[in-house]
Amino acid sequence: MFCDLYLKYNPKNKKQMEKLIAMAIKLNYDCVAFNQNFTGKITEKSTFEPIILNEKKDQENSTKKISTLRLISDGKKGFKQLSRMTYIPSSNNDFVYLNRSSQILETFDIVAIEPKTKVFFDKCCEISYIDIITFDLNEKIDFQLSYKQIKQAIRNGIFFEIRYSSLLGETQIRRKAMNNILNIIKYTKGKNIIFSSGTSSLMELRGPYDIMNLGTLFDLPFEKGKLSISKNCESAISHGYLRKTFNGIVEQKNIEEIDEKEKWELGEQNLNLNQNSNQNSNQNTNQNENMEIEKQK
Amino acid sequence: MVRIKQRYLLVEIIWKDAGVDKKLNSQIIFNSIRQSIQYHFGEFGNAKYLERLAIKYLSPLKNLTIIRCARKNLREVWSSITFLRQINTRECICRVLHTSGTILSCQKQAIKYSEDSLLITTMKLLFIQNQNQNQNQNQNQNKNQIENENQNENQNENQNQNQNQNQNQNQIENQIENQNQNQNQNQNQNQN
Repeated sequence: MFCDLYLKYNPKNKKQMEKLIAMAIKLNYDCVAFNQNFTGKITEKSTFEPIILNEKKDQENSTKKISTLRLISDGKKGFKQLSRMTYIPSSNNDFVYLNRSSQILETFDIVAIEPKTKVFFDKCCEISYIDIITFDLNEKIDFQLSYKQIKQAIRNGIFFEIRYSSLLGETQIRRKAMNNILNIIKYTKGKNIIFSSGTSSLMELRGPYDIMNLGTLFDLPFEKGKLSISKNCESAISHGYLRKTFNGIVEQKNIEEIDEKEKWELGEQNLNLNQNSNQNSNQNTNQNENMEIEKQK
Repeated sequence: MVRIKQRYLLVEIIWKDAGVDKKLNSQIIFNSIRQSIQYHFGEFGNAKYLERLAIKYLSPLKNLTIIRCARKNLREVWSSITFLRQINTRECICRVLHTSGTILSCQKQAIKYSEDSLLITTMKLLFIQNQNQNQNQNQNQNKNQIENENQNENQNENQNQNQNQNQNQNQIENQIENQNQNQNQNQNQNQN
């Protein structure tokens, strides 16, 4: 399972997003996350609408023009589209707006922070309710990374992201980006690294095996490069999923959302309630205890 | 004897235009790879990584190439291919499908990949066309026509089979002395 956790979200230009997804499917990706940026005080409500694959259009249009997305995605099953936010704090007091209790964390699948000063970076490493720390590779990182803070972040299960699209820019941007990537891999020792493309343009995507090979230029061995696209991304997604539960122990769901394989856990009484009164089904909730997580603790 | 260690890369080129350029040479691609090596690894890299570098096969219709390089320089040559943004002033993505020590397994993989891509596109087009046809109302008319044709064919076949059986029976029974009686019986059977 290959993932790409940073694609720019353009709700106005949907054709561009369709082309991006078609190219991602062609390059053997299985999961894609669309990003929205936030700065300062968060007041906007987030709306994420995933693009519908296998969309059926009118009969007259379908015979003449068949969209490339529909051609490619007919054979592919289980392609995921996730939502993601990155918070870019501008001043030192901005960290108040992104608490553990703030409601915007629950609406996104993945939450990331892009620190620009030493103070923020130290705070990000201590927190456990975010998933990813990203860096703006086009500008040189001002502060110096430290082994001690990064070791604490790895213990919390936070991942460090590298956006490889800045390697394809102009000469000065490329030189700064290479210097930054060498720094990040040196201080993390090749652990908990995620490669992703930070683009909205079509021609800056690359295949997953090409990116693994790019890592070897920056002293990252080929096997760890393979983890950075496949397995680390999956664990970042599951880390974000556990944020919606209660401490990773109890989960709350509507009855309609439950799969048919898990319906035996409800019992007969709740099943009858669901059939008789569909109006009240939104109020009825179910608490499924995740036994596996309890065992781990 | 010591064999010279080398690697073969099977590369697919994805154009932004999705068009075909029949004037593509192997020399144009070789020059563009050499330029990107010059750009990223400098003068020293240009001297070092061009060892055993050659383009063995190119098909501009299928956009597949096979590139040879020395084994110790595999990572640098591969990464210089991924850094490519345009060939002959056309934007493109270069994607490595397979690497191997011999050119034969690269050839097998290229045949397999091109067959699969052809099959998938044609099957999907047929699938979508069938779906559109089923939505129309012409489906019922077509079905009735086919059923009528099948019934007619079955009737013709039954008649032919009966005639053949009677002929065979006649040939065998002519050998028997009492020809007249049997012929009368056969005629009766045919009438029945």
